[in-house]
Amino acid sequence: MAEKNDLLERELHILRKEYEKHRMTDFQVGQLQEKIREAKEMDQNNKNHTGKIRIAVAAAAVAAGLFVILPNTSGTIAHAMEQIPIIGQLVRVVTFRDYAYESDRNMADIEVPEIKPEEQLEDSTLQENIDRTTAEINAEIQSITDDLIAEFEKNLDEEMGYQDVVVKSEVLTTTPDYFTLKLICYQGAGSGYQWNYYYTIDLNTGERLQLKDIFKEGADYITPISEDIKRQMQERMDADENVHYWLNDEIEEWNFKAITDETSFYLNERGNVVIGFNEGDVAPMYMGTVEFEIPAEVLDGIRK
Amino acid sequence: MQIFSYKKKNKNAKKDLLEKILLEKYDQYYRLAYSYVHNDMDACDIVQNGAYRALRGSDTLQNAEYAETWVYRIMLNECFRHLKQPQKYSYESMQETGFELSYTEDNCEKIDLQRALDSLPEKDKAVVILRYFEDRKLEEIADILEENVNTVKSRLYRSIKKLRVYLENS
Repeated sequence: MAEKNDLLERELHILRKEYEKHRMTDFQVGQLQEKIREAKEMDQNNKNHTGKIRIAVAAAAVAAGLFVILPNTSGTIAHAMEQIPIIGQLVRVVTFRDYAYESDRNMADIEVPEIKPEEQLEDSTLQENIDRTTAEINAEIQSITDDLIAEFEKNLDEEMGYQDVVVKSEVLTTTPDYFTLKLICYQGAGSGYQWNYYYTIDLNTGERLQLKDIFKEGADYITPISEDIKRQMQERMDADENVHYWLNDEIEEWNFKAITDETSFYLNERGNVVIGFNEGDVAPMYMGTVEFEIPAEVLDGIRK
Repeated sequence: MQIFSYKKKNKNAKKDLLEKILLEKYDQYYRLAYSYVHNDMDACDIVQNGAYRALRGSDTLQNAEYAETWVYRIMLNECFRHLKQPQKYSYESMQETGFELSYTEDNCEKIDLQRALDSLPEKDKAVVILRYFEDRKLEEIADILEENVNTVKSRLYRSIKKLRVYLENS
């Protein structure tokens, strides 16, 4: 039986190579573009010319070089996010840089957050730790957003390229013990993809918080958390047929098995562990990014 | 989702999104169409007509997140529609008139499996192509075909069984 499977797999693989050889010629792509233009023009005629006006405005903007680019390249801090609340008075979030760009085919809306330590602590070790940790996190965020901006700018030169890139952030936790900043990234080119980063600072030590830090030395927290996630996945799927996770799927390698120490998490306002997955990690892309709050009783006895 | 709200600002966002998808994925649609019609003229027609239909019908696209699946479904339906039409350059007539096919004679087995694949019902064939050539997940295939996952699974099992029998006998 296994041999037969192999034979079919092999044959299908050969056929796939053949299948993949077929590509449209430049001429055919040109015909397709013409057809797309035709379809869009018909719509404009039907819609009171609003489409045409929009395009005309965009074209004028291009001609006049009026792209809206507001990168804060000098490195000075833009205090555009004044509405962001002060967090536990130990750290606060400001906008480090705003990068916006919009043209027919390209759209960028990137707000780079920066965590600022408040210098008013008597405990100088804590102050040093917080300074170091926030500098580390800020550097990571800036490296992520610099890469996204560099990629975006590189793609601007592509004549046919379409792209959207959005970066926002959100303060998730504001307890006296923990501070969590969530960095939300979205990149669209054809199909969009959203992914998140979670940065948690333990405000008592000033250190970055890792999952293992909140559990007793040597305790197995991976199993109870993973099992509870599976339970919740099943529960949600049973409750709503539109919800799907890779759990007992036919294709074994896709199924969610366990979290790792690298899995994203934060502690919510109730102090519960929330596990976050990016699009496509544990569910089909249409499910988006997904989170699971682990009830306190599941981790009873092993939390510090 | 707050992050996506900018899309609402633009009335034509849906159309722009569709155009973007079409211009990025056309080779995928072309390959799919080619595997049904086996000639580049018809495959190209299918992609063009599918693109036209998608853009003209963009109002019926409910959820922008499903846009890619939606376009794929339109292309697949365009393939099915084409197969039902009287053929200009059908697979058979091309063989008769000696048009050059993509198959080369030095690999008879490959031709055999291609024939077996072509002999499957059109939707079963689509499931095999999507699963084995495009690495789509069963859920995505179900979305594209607008069928439930179990139906897709049984299509896949049935097809694999047929292909296997074919290989054993050849």
